[in-house]
Amino acid sequence: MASADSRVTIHMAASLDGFIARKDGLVDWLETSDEFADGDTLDPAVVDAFLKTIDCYVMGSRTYETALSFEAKGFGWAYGDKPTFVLTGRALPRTRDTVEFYSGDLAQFVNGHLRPAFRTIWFVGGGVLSGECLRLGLADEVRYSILPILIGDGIRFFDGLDGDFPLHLAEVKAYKSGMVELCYEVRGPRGGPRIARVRNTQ
Amino acid sequence: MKASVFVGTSLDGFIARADGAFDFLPLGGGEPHGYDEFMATVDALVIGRKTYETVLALGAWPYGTKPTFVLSTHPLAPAPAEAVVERMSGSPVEIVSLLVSRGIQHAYVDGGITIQRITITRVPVLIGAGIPLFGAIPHDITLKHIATQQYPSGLVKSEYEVAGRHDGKR
Repeated sequence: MASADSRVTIHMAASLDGFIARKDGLVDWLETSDEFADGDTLDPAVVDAFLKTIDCYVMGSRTYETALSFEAKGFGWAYGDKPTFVLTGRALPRTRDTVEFYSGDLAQFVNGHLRPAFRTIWFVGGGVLSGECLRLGLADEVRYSILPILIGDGIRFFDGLDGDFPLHLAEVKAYKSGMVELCYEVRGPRGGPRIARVRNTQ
Repeated sequence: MKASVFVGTSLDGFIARADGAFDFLPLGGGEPHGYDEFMATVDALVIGRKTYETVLALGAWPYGTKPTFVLSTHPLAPAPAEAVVERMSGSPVEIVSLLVSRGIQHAYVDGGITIQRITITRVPVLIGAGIPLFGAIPHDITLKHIATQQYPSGLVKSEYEVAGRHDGKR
């Protein structure tokens, strides 16, 4: 049984042209030098309080590997002491107790395992996992942090969408860093039919 | 001369579906989000041949008597009587200098030449696949965020200025 008030959010940061990483997975472009004077400040205390409201993280194997490489470079582990589920069929190093691996049916995992146990569930990438989450009708919310840079090519925000997904705009925020955060609700019955099909994916 | 982009995209950054259709954009351009005001500041348009043909197929010429330069190396299909259309080809630098020599100060551009200002209006839909706003670029292009505005129908308009370009790791 799915917990009635659990909420699945897909969150990713992307370039203005819609890429979450370069082709080789690098996210070296995430730090931009822009300054938007009228923007909101990301006060560390507010960020901290916000992150506390997230109960668990879900990610694909490449996002996990990126997180590990960040940690190896001394940037720390981005997901605190929150349970972090890595969807993968591969054998990956497990560097902390909060990390668990899972391979199998995503809908069963989210509805049968995560929703009953957690209220605020964050999918943090990558594009394949986020696309599957949306396609299977598992997501309640899409959060898109847009950075002020064009990188031209890379891994797309969502991969493998098989139709249109109309969204409902819930919130827009512009930050001093030049980042614009858009928050959308996913409307319609979970897993229900979508209004149109893309005719050609190439 | 300043060159600006003013364009609608899906949330996932596509300006059209893979077959060129843009049926996911609201009919008639959606609720007013500054397009008319923007167009009033522009004294010429620079569009690609594909856009030209798409616009012709719409039936009604949308650019009035504003000079419209179509980038194409081939002859163009005839323009409607009221339209002011001219074919142009060359490198981005050649095109810009040609426009400057014609007294153009602010051009609306949908591709082909170097752009200084980008206004993207995102429609609240993900379409999964299509034609991306920008093609391949040789370097990262850093931007300066100017303003973001939201509209009741869910449109979000963001304006950026091109800040610079630098070598990314490829």
